[in-house]
Amino acid sequence: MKKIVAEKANEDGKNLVGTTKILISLLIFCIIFILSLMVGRYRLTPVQILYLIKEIPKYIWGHNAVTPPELIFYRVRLPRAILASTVGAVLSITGVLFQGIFKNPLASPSILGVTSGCCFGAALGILLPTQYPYIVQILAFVFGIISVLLTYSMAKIGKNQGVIMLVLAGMVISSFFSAALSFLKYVADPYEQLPAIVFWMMGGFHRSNWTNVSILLISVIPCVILLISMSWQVNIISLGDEDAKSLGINVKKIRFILLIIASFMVASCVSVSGTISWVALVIPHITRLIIGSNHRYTLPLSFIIGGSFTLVIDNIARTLTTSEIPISILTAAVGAPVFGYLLLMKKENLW
Amino acid sequence: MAIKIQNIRFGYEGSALLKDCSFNIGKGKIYSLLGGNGCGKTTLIKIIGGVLKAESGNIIIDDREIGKIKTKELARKIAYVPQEHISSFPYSVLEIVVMGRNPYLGMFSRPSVKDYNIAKEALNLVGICSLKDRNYMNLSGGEKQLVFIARAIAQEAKYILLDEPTANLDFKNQYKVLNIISKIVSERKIGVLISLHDPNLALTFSDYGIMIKDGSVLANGNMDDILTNQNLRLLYDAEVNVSYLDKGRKFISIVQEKEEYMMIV
Repeated sequence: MKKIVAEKANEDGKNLVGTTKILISLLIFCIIFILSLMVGRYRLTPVQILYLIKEIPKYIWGHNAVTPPELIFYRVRLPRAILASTVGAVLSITGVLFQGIFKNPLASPSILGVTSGCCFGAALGILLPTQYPYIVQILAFVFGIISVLLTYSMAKIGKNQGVIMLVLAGMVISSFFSAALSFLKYVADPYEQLPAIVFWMMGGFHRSNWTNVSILLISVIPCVILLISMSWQVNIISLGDEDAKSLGINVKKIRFILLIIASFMVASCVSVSGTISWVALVIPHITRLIIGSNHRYTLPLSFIIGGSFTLVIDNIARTLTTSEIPISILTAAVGAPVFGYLLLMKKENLW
Repeated sequence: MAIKIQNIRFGYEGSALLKDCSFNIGKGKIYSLLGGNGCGKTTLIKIIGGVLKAESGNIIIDDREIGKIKTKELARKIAYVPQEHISSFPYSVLEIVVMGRNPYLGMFSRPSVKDYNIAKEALNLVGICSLKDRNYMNLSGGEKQLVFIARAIAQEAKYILLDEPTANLDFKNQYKVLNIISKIVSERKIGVLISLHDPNLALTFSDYGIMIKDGSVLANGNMDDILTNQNLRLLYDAEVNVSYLDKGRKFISIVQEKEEYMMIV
């Protein structure tokens, strides 16, 4: 018994290491967040930033922004920084979840067809003659959800109820929506609509405004809390269906709940920002290198790292040249080499 | 208090693998499941563990039908140790073992310090406490098997099903693993069903045996009684020689066919 008591301290120590890493990354995120409010065409000084941050409550209670620094801070930079970090964070945490559930380090949230569905919906919204301002986002979201439900029902009809069937059904639905998207591109007006579709798909946070941001936060925050609180179930499901079942988990039910929540989150993000490649794939790997595979720590840490990464990339996207670079180009250009470096440098058998 | 397996029938792709299997598993004893490759031992174990569902027949666990027991409750009654396990993520040994505590946790909860202590106790019992912080993916086959046995112990189930736990182990480790299992059975009074390939190991370590042939039970009873020449010949489709070692203990070997023997010489 003495031995066990001695080791208990060790176990608590390990928890402490994980928590410390999360707190440190949270601190880094805050620094990045404040810095990204400063950089841009119109440079804001740290003094101005501190003053403006202090004035946020006043602004929330209806005070109108008048001076240029105020306008830039409240109308442009703050919503954009919140949007970029939220989208990146959500994509990363869902990436971790999908990789865990599918027992595959190459899985990403797009595996069930949500991204293709969103792209199709957005393209449809661009082609429709209506002038309703949010039609593109609404259609993107709706078709993202429709595609996931189609994938799920198709897998359910199939005899084999395992994960493989789900992946294959996802491929079928993705391909279908890609074909439909290609058709829309083909019939689109090549001077106005086609570029709009292409730019939408390359992603960007230039559509950020307070309406977008608040809708996104309201829909995403409860989901994130739910996912993190279910991290233990994710751990067990990542062992495989049979193991999870023999450990008392209703695999089909829990997997359905988790994947639907995650797809809902991804659809909400993609419908605002367009597709953002690589974040959902690379950040989970970076996170696992830092903190290991226990989803209790991997989920929250990937959330923070994903937010910081996307925020940095977005800062580069909007400051590197006079016009804005679509963010997917940069996430891939930065993400791929970073990932390659990590793969070559890893010492232990990590996945 | 026992598991009653009644007239189990199961098939893959139309053909019946298990036709009519019935036997009982009681507490505090080790039951060996013997049979040739592909006779359905693994399938039967998965059916008893609730991982697969039988086409017809019934599993009664402590007087309740398996279909009427919730997944979580079933996991408190029966633990299942798979033959091999392919992991995709580098969990530590302790993390794997503490997952055995899941049947006692709610949907949104995590293992507490108490659960970790139970997991460590299980590791102690199996004798691999020193491995607890190692990456489970880097362990050898025998160590992995012990980790999963520890997880089954942490699960505190009344019955443990083991699917060929000695399959990938060397000569010494086969005995080590089976010794640990007998120790647990005598300490915790649980019922163990274990599928084995070697009838000698089954004879050494188990109290009762169940022989599966062509989808039904060929023989079922005291290990020493059912290991007869005739039963073994039918079971493995081979000439089997039952010889006696000192103290009258049986030793089973395959009789080599003559021509083959000549060639070897």
